[in-house]
Amino acid sequence: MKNSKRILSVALALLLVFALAACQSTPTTTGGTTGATTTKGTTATTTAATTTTGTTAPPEPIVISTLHAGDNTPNPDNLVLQEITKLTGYIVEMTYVPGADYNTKLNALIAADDLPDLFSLGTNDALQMRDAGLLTDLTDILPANAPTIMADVGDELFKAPANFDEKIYLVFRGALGYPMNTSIRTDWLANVGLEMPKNLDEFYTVLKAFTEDDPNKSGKKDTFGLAGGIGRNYYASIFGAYGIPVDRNIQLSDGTVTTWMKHPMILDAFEYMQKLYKENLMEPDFATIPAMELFGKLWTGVAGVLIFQCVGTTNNWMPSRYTETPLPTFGFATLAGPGGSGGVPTIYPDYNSGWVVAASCETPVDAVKLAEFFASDAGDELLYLGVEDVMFRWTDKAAGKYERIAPYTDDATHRAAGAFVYHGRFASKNNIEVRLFNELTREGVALAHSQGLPDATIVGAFDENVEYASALGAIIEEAFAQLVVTDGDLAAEHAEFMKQWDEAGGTIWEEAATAMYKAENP
Amino acid sequence: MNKKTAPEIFGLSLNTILLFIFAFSTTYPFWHVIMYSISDSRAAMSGGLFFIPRDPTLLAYRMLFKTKLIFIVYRNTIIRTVAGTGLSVLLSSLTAYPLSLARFKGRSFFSLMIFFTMLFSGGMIPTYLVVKNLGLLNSLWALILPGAMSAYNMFILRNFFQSIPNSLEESALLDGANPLQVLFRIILPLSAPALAAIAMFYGVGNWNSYLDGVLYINDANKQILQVYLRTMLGTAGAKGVLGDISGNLSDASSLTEETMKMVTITVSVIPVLIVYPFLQKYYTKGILIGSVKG
Repeated sequence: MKNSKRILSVALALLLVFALAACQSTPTTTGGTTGATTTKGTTATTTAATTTTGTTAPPEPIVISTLHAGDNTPNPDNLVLQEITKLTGYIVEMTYVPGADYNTKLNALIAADDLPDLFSLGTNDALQMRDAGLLTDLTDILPANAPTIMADVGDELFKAPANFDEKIYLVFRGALGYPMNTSIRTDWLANVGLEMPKNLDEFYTVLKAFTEDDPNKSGKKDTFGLAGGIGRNYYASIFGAYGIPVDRNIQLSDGTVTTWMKHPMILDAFEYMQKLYKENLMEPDFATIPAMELFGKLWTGVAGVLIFQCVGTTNNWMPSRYTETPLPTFGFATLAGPGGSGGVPTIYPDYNSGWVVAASCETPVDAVKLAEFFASDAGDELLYLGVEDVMFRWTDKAAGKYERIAPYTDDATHRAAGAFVYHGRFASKNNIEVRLFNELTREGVALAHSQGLPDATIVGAFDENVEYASALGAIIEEAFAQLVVTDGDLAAEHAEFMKQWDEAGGTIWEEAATAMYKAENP
Repeated sequence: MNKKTAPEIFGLSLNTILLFIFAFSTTYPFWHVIMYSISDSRAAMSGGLFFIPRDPTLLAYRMLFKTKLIFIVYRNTIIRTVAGTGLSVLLSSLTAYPLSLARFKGRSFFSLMIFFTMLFSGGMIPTYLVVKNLGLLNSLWALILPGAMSAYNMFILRNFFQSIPNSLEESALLDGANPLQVLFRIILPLSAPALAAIAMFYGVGNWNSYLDGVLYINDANKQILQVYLRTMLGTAGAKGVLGDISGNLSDASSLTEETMKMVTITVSVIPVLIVYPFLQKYYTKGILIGSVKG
């Protein structure tokens, strides 16, 4: 007994010693193909991509550190990082942080004067860091070293608030977000004998048929028309038919910039929404249903219409998310309203976030060259699809067709090897994701972009927005849900909500927003 | 003989039903998570209660354990938990023992200084700077040393030591033992419940710790389980709303964010749940120890 206790004690002590020994810090080796350990901040101006001849020692590879926010799990020595080194000569020291904690990590690095060379920022942080001298002025460096980026966003760089003084500190990406499409199941349309709707009346007829006329031929009343949640974008084309860009600022006829909820046609739009709700043609739990559950209504064949980016409905969810056999088919509707036209909120470049180079970066030119590589077609493909002929191969490049090569056929392995996970921050307007869309999705995206509604978007930040936006947004959200479901006097309830909005700071916000909008759009 | 009356039977039945409902309401969430995690994502989307898995599949687990990084982060977390807990218990014991001795002059002062840290911590940025300046960044030491001693746990241990009769220590000293021998041969063996309780506190704390991994570790080879799992949520999360093009070709594309959440919770919690029943009695005891003396 005594001996076994001693043995156990010794074993535990050894375990502790081994564990502590394993805690030691080791020099960081990065994803270079040679596996050479290098130090950060090498000031050589030539890259290892420049071949050397004779007995001249090759230049020491330049290490560029980056901080990347993302929600994936790349291996530290992954193939994509190795390929970047092979193609550019730069060793990329990539710190990968969960997206939600990016700012926490960045704040710690700022405080420790330990900023990475290349990283992402929002406008407010960029302005503060610029004023504190923590960012590199790229005004001269970018045009000389980044032709792809300049061709993509060069004309608009000074629209970013961080660059308002005509000096470039923050470079936003060219890639645009995706606008909303009204995706309607065409197989259900055929089953109920209807055409693709062109206006709100026809849309109502379709939703009614999808709810009451057994569009899936199951013999049961197990379907309804419109899937949707509390987000106003799920109804973007309905409000758009009345000329209202949901969740955007609008300019009234007297020049005042205000909330979309004060649009002159807003009561008409809510009357239409009420009709859908009261006749059970739309999601009955729209105010509380989680996003995944509402998408599930489309995926499982319960709902036949979803107003959402078609990149989801006809591309990325197709076929794996849909549970029916045969697969559903979709088309996109353009809904005209009382004025004879319709639309959806316009998508603008994201002027308020982008990449920057730290002032502490010893080789800012190389950092910009690396960003240029990421934005180029070759870099873009590498970051998204991985290493060609190792991780994937093109089957029809012009048509955007490719196939993954084993063992990279599943997402986990593919992303662990570095593909997809670093993509996005440097993506250009015609980036690889766009080039890979199927034909229907390309048409849908182009259609939605062509239907952008005018609004009064303000690019720059202003104090009143920081102070009041959150409270005002909460009132709008509550008003939206209430005005759809109310049995009371719609006009009176709307007026009451707008009074609340004004009193919660809306009037002050309107004055500041109007001034700001006029300053930005003289 | 001992025949139960109708009111007694009613009372027992009521108790049984109430306790069953209570037990069900506390255990079902775990069951739900596990059953959901091994259900097919599409079948699980219909919602409702999960008493058995729907279209059972281990696809989500396969996805999680497909990369070598999961084994690296598990290894790191186990090392951190074992080493951190061992070191923490050792440091807490070495600190608590002198502070429990009435003859130690200045113990009130030192106790107050340690207590002060329970009220005011250094804060995230100053702590980061200390860790950086000590050269601990990117090492598991950065995860172990800053939180190596919890003042709360030290006080629990000190209070327990104070409850041990002085005569035992005096006898040992008379027999020629030095203070360290008294601590390791007399005090600690008598303090097994308290040590087990604080070891559990430290162990669970180390296992669940997340933010220090985000802050102090840049090298994925040194990353810990909780940070890895957080990013795995995003792998499915990104697909949850829009998915990505590559999803078309992968088996993982049929996974939903909800399933990945359930898998993540299971993988993270199961090890703790396995250990917990063995230490639970010490947990209660540990809490009581802290409340006996202040």
